[in-house]
Amino acid sequence: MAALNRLSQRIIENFQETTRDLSLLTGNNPSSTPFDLTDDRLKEISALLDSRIEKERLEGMKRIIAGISKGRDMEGFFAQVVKNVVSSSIEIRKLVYIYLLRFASTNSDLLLLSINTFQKDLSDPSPLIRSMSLRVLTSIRVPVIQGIVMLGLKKLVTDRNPWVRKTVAGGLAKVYEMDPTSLPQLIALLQTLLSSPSPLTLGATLTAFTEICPDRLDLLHPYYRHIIKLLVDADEWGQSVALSVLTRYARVMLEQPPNSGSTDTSSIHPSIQTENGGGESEDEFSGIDEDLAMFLHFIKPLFQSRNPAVVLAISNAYYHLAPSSHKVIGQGLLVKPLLRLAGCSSDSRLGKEATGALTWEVLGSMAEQRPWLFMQCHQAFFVQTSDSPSIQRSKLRAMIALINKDNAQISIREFKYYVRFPQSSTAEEAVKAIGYMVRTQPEVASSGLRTLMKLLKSQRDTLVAQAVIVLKSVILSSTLSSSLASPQKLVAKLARQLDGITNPKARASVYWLVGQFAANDPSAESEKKGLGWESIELWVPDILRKGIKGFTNEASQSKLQIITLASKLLVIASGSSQLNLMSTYLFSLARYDSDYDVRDRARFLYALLRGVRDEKVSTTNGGVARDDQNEEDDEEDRGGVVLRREQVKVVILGKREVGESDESRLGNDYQVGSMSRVMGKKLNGYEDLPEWTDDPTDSSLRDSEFENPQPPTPGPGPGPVSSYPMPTSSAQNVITPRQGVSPATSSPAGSYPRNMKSALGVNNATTAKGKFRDLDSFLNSESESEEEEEESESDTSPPAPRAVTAPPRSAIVPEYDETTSEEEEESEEEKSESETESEDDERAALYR
Amino acid sequence: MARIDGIIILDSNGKPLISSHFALHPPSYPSLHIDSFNTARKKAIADDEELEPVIWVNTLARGGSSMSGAALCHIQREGMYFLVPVGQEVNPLFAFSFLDSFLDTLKDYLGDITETSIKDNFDIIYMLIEEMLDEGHPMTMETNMLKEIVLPPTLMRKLLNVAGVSGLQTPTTQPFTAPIPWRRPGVRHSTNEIYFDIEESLDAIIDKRGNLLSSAVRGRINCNSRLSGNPDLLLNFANPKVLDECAFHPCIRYNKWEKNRILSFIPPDGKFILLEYQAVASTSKTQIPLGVKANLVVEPNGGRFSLTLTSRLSSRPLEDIVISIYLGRGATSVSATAQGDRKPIGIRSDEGVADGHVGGGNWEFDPHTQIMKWNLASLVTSERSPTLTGSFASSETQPTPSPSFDVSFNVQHHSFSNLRVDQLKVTGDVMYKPFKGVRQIARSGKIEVRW
Repeated sequence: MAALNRLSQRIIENFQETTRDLSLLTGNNPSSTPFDLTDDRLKEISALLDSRIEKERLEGMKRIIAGISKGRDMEGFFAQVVKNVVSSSIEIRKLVYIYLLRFASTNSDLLLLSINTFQKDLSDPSPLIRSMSLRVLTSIRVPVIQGIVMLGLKKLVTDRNPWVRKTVAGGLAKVYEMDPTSLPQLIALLQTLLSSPSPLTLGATLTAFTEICPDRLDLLHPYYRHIIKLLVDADEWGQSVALSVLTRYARVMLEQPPNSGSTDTSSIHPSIQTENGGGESEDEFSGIDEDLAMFLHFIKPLFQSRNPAVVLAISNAYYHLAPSSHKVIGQGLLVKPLLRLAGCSSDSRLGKEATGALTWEVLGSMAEQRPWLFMQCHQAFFVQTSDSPSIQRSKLRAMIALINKDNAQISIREFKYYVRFPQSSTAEEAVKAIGYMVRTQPEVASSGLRTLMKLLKSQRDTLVAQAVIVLKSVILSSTLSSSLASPQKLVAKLARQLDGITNPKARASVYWLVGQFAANDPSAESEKKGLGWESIELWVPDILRKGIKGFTNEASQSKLQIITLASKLLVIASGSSQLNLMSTYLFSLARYDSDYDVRDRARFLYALLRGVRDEKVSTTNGGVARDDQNEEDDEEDRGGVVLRREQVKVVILGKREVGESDESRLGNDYQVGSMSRVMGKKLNGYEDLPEWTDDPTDSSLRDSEFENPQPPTPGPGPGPVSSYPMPTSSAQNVITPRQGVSPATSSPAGSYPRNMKSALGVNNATTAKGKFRDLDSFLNSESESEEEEEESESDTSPPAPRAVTAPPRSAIVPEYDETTSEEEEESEEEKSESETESEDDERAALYR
Repeated sequence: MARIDGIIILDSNGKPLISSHFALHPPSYPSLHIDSFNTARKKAIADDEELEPVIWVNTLARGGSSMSGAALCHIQREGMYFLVPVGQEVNPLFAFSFLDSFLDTLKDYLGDITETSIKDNFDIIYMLIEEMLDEGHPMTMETNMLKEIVLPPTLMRKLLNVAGVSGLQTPTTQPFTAPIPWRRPGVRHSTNEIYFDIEESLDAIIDKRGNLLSSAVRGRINCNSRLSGNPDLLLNFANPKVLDECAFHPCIRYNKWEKNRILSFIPPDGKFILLEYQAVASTSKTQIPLGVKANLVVEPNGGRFSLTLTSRLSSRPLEDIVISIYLGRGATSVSATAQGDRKPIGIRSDEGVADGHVGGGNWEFDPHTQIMKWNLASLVTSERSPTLTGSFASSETQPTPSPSFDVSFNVQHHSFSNLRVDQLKVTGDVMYKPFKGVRQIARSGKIEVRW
């Protein structure tokens, strides 16, 4: 057979070689594809569309699509295209559909001609045609036909093929958008879909839910447990939607587990939980809402999803819902999968740099909010020079958040290393981090300080600037231990470096610091006593002199600080005529500065200092200033209060400038793990996750007949595989219901162990058919017997809790199977819903 | 919620090749994104920066009434740019996951993704996008399922098109009826074979003294399955404990793995990634097989460096060794000598690489990127350690070269984690004994040696 295949292929190849010219005959230019659309080819289109030959019509459609993709106006062909909707070729039809969807809203009248065809196709035996026609029908945004669309949806909502039902789910949102008044009808359809036993429709259904009625979380009550069970087998795209819906549901409807937030960090130590022992613990999930525990437990396999979006979605769910430390369903579970995901950025061959970068971003935010989660894997955040800038940024954020006593030495070593990075932004951040460590981690403060001082001599301008700014906040910080170099000395050192510092912000900081410390009284009790005028007399005025000398070349930021410095010195230095002269010169310079801020400040300070100046003028008996400013003084005499020296001192030197906070992430308090958070801007449709409810709903609400349609049958084996939350024997009632419901079979607690049992295939013997209905069940029959072996094995020794609790990958459901004979299909339809589900379970079990 | 706006494919010049699925948006919407992207890209090139993976684009909201914004997710492949604008709040990785699957599918359909193959098959791509996205929601994403709906451009179809025969578009099986989403029913192969490629890569940071600061081994099992019928496979590992953090293909039965640490699955047909894993950190951190002694001294207007390599892997030669470093802005020239044994060891001599000799290798300096590279074809433990010593000049008085050397190498038939496949059992309705093959390759991921 295969040999034949190969032979035929070779023949075809040959044939193709020889018939290459043939295409010339049909009018095609082989050197150009339909994509290269010239005007000539455009003109041929309508002829092609009207052709009787299918191939030519196809060619025509292709050209039209090419035209659309090139941005040409193709609307003129609408009538001709519509005619082709009845074509027997699926390929043509698909292109027609693409075209119709594009122009449907502007050509509704013509389109109505073809509605009949679509309607007829809704009953087509092929599920593909059914689904395709429904898709087009729902996508036609024409108000007139909404009735027909609704009929179509109603007709197909109970279709046997899950793919068709999926299309129905997709159509709900479209109808809602056209006609919001149809909401009640749509919700009814949605509920039908929610009860579908196939995991395939789950994603689309919940997507529709989020589009049409995202706030009606109460609708989900009866389906909550059902959804959770199907979730693991749903398609990847549906999973990530479902996880976010259920996360919101849990926040609104379920009880908050103890210590779930970031507030409680004292009890967070994995070791604390260990005393609870292994799997034997009677109430592993005690204190946690049972439905929440079920949710978190059932979705655990999704951490192993290959789809990054799903891994992020489940990590978000755990981050926002799970108890902070729990052996089985604690938040700690999300760390490793996320790190794995982030790690894919390091392999450039995969081409997943973007995924990695975004994951690092999420990890950075999480580490900032809950550093204890990531303490164990500190070194995973070490920054590499080959990381992209955005990854470096995120990793550094996390590194800073993770600083604590234990890793202080390692952290400061890393930060010192990062300062050497050629990427300035990272190096600057590292400098900031060192400053932060100097302030908060006393053991490494002195070594960090040395690094910062050394940086002042660096040639890298931006680093020097950053170092000065960081040093300023270090000097100001009250936590600086006295054992280190005294702040006074630091200020003096900084001042000595002034000539080498070019960054305006840094220079401004130096001027400010010098002024501030010169002013403080050396006899004050506070740790950071000032230098006192005597000790600084030699050099501080010189700083001012330098400042004035280069005043015109300074940036306005520094100018402001130079004026401030001059005022401060004037206030504290009594009667230095030199200083007086200098400041007078400075104020007249500033009066004519180009920056109005500088002019304003100079004027303000000048006026403020009047009292001081008068004093001086009187003591020194006049000066240069007097002549110039007589006029003005007279004017000012008319009103206002003149402050005395002591008063001015209070005004100018009174309050400390607040040190910059290093780790402010301004204006970004969007939910961790959302796109808005990544962008730092709000996207449409962003909504904060609701806070935990104070009034959780009763768990009996989630108890539904639908949930548990199967009468309990004793399993063939002893059935230890059953219990959902605990690996103890199923004979025991495993959960103590929180709401005080008696542990009868009807209680929710009793319900899912039983359900699990069926899902795990304990009931196989009662429902399994003797004859395999398809290949697949045949295949899986073997695993069934294995299953039973395993069960009996596990009877003797209690299995590990994880092994038994996860739901099966029951991706196969009976309704797929349309290859069966007609009779069987009929009989299938007659079966009650409950039976369908039991079969589902059975199949699930088989498949497992 | 989980919705993307559409897909745009740009060629290497930033001109649109394909822009699909924007019917619900104003016609200017895709162009707006294309323009924003091109502007951002040009700016990034001019500033010598890397483009952020997501770009913010100010747009009109859907419906066009108010100003709003969209996040433009983009990746680059084969010189082309693939953009996905997202106008609504969504899981941040959603668009990228979608793009990844879209590209995988495209690769499956077209073979190589090139501008030509995209232009040649744009109709198929449009149809694919139409199937994959329903107004921005992912619809049918399984390649196997898609192949039933949108026929891949095979030689046969091209031929029939040329010959003017039509009506053969009917697929072999009824679409939407396959019992397993990832496998088509009725697969037939003349030779039944299955191959597993275990690829591992090692990330590490090594400090000045040669201590390992951090390391991680990540691995993947690529599978190429060409088995007829519906085979059910059981893959056993000799040491499954090595696999720490896994990501499974959906075909793997999770419960079996949790219970017995066995991979049990019905494989998709063709190439797929069976498993991705993070190897467990063994008690002693994974030693990197290449010992690098690196030294660099920065001097005014330049610097000196010396590098010494040793192989710590006695069993296999290290291949394709590349040591590279960014010498900082302003680096103008490098002069260096590479030394090593000139002893013939016959490795890869058939390919003519390094003339059968492994000497000191060769080095090169690119003055545009300021990156110096030292290449060695291979290295074994027995030979004298190759060294590279030299100096570089820079126009900056205080150059800032990268504080670490990047190291990369390959080792064939080696595994960092020592993961070993024990056996592969084939069950199910198969009457044949398939040919099975396992291959291992170990690569460096991001390894940096600080100086």
